[in-house]
Amino acid sequence: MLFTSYGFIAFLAVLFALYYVIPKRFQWLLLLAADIVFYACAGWKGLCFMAATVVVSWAATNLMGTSLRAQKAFLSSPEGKVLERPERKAYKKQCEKRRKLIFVLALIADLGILAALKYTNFLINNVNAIFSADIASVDWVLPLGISFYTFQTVSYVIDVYWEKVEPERNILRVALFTSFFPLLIQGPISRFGDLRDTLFAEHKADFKQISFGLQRILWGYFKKLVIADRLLVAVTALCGDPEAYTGAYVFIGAVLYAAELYADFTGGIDITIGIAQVLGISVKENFIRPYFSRNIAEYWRRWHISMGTWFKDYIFYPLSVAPWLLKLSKSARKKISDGFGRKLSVYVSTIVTWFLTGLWHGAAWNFVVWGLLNAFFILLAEEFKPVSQRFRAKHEKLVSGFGYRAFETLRTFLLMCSLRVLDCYRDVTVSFRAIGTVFTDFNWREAFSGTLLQLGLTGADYIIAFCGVIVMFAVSCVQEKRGSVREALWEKPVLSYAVFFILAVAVLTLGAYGVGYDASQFIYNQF
Amino acid sequence: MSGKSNKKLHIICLIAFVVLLCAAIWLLGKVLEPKYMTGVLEGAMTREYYDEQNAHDVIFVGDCEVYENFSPVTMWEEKGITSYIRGSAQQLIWQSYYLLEEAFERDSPKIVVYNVQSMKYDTPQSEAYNRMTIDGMPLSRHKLDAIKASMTEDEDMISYLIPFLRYHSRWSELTAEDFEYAFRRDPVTIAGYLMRADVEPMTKLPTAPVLDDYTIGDTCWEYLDKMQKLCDANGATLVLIKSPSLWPHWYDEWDEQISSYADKHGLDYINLLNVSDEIGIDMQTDTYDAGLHLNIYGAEKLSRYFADILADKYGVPDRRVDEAIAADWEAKSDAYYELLAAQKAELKEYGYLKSWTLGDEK
Amino acid sequence: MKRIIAVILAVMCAFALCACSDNGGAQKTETKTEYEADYGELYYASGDVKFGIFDPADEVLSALGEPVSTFESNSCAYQGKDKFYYYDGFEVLVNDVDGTERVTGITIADDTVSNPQGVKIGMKGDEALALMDDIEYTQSGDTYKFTVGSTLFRLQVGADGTVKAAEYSVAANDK
Repeated sequence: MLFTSYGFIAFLAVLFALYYVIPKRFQWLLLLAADIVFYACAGWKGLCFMAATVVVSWAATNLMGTSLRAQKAFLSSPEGKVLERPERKAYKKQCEKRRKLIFVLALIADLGILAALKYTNFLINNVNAIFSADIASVDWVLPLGISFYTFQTVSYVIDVYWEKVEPERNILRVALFTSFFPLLIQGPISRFGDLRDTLFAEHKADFKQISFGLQRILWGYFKKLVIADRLLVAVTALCGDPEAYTGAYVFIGAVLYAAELYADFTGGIDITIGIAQVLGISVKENFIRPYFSRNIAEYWRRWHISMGTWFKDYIFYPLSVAPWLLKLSKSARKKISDGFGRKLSVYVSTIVTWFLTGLWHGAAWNFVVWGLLNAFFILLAEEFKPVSQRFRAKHEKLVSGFGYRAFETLRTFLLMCSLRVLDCYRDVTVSFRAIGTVFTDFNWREAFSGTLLQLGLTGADYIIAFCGVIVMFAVSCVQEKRGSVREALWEKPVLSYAVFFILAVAVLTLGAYGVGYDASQFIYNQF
Repeated sequence: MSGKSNKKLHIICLIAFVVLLCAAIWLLGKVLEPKYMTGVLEGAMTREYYDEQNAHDVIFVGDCEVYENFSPVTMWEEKGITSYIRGSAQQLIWQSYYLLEEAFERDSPKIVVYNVQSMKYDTPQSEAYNRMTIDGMPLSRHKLDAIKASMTEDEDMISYLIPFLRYHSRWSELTAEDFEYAFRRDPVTIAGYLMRADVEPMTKLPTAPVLDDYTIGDTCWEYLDKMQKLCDANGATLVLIKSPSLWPHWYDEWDEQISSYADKHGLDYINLLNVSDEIGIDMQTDTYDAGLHLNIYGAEKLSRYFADILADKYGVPDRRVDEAIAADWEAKSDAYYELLAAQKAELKEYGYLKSWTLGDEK
Repeated sequence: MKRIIAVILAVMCAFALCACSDNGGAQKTETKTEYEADYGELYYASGDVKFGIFDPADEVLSALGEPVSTFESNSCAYQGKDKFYYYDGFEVLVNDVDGTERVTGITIADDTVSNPQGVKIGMKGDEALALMDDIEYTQSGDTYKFTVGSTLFRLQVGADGTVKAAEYSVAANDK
């Protein structure tokens, strides 16, 4: 069921109505039932894999929880209290070892399903290519949103192992956390600790909250259907023919892709969060106006936040304090230089994290290079921090001015656009060549001599997309300066409903949906 | 503003929002739906039937081989037969069936003539044709059934019920016609007959392509069964015909299957291709597209021939004695000759039918 | 402890997540289908002109020269137009395929011509099949179907065992 299908709208309407009609204590069970319906629409086999993930993580977390409770109970019992310190330590270690085993097995099982289902063909293709073998590809069902729910479950298992959250005893609740349908499509990748209190709670129908949720859903559809799906046509055409579209076209393509990707991804997240809001469930934001960032590190704190924090919490931090890395760093300080040694652990962790982030986006070199380039620029910025700080201190007035801030924002935006070219062309060589032509063959005049109208979009389409981007930009400016737009409008109901009426008519009339439009799925579905 | 009055205002605004949104969807739908008033007229044909004042003794159902090849006015003039053609472009058998089902609710035909050409299609074919046939039907059980039977893979029921959802993307191609005909239509046919007065002689027909399978599909037989039952239940006689159009090719294998079905079910099947000479059809003068469809001259010949069959063999009554009916048909006849004169005038001026076609000069 | 987690996650991620997809981004959501000639051996030749299914019609027709005659078949209303071009011994069908006129059918009309493999109307079915021996085929009734890429070559053998019809068309369910 696509977010943009009529079936999905009908599904939501029924769910919303039922949700507030049934006794509140059953609300979360209704959500679970809705998840099953939603998921079953994508094929019953997917349900089996998800059920396996649920059972594994439920069993593992509870076994770990039982072990921890037993450990604590024993140590505080008279029997345990009489133990000597080394004995206590040994007992604790033994328990920890047991938990570690459970934990490792659970991770292998959870990630193993993901690996087996999604990686097998990739592995076969590579083996075939390297050894000139002829192993047949497998035709296995890829469960919907498997990367998202697996990441979510893995974070839960780790958090329980780290004793950051209590294990949930009710398997149905674990099932709901794993399968909560709005998050399945493209995140945000939520944590059990964040969702627990809101997902299973009883929710009273709140007029304002439901209105806000519906308004946000509408806004998401506007971004997705009016802007993203329209621009997609031009971006696809430009990226599809790198030989013909060089120079200025690459630049235009990268900028259009920036708008398209943002509208598509944040639009989807708006729909997701909006649905949750109608249900009274609060989900963490996944974007905070990333294009307003003034440097790459800030950008990654504001774009796809849940993915960034996942990698930070579960890869970067553990890695950067890993004893072997600290040891390596220590020896580098001695053998090479103090400065280098000190930075080594951060460097290694950053590079590994971004390497994996790149892989997360796709099993191809372009994504790896994209990830590593991100790491490169982040570390470069880190390296130049002292210079930058000196410059800032010296030219305090200049750097605090609007002009300089705008420059920094634009610089970051263009840098991210350039990196994203690797995502557009899906080929490292082609991407670098394309970027090269921007500097060697900047055919600006030619680009505006009518070629853009041959990419599948009419002049009217460009105008609509442009107006849509302006509206998006204006809303972002207001949000950045004054906070919630919906909150401000709420005080003026007539204006509020007028605005959303126009938005609704715009979505229905100008949106790319129905027969005649290809159901262009959210770009992030695939990750 | 106090919280309570604010909430009240919110609710009022919400109601206004919903009402206005529904109104906007309805209104925009009216403006955005295709009108088929110029160029492609076929899409406007289905809805014209509902403006008919009097009952018809004969109803034709089928595709272009009925609405281009039979002229009800000629049959009226010839034998006083009241007939109507419920046909549209590539009208599939299930669409013919549901249109007939609907017709029996408001009409009382004694004879139903079904042209079997469309039995070559066993599955839904094209969204565009579905729309041209079905959009004109008022909402009813028959319409819902027709939609269900006709939808291609990518289509959905809701956009048939709320046309705006289908046609919203036409905003960029709106013309004055869309506003002029938002709430009304001009007739494009005369009793379902779509007139063409131009001539394009037949030269050579292509070699008939080889088919993988010449078996007529089960769905078609199922609907033919239903059509016969429907006619029986309403006291009407079903007559199967094959119109004398030469292309697309009508295979012998198909003809044999239809003949044996007709024999088995006690139906009459008249293959008019076999009597073209007897009818007097001359594909040098009687077709407007080199043998596919008949023009008015061919249609009149065929209609005269078929009117004789209807009157003599099936005893379809002469209604010219009924004043009210006669007046209605007089008006139709006037419109018919007016249209013919107009088409002739255009042919003289431009050499082709400028107003009734997409304008491709011959 | 955390090291193990990090290592496991890193390894598993490397294996699992890299496979999350290589189909994101702009190109994957491509909506247009490319129609390209992929007929391999299943082409037709008239003199020096070799052509097949999905070849651009203007190139083929200008190479073939003036046809003996033409026939345009309008379907009811306006959807699609079949254009037939008659040449000595064969016919070429042209359709608009996503905005470009392309060859969508070639029919051998009589026994004055043969296809590049030597298949002729009127020859023995067995001989015709032998001539086509390099290409795999399926049989349904009296019809033999050879498929390469988007091209389907049909050979119909009559009750007397001779070839009754031979034609090239677009393979079903293709694109």
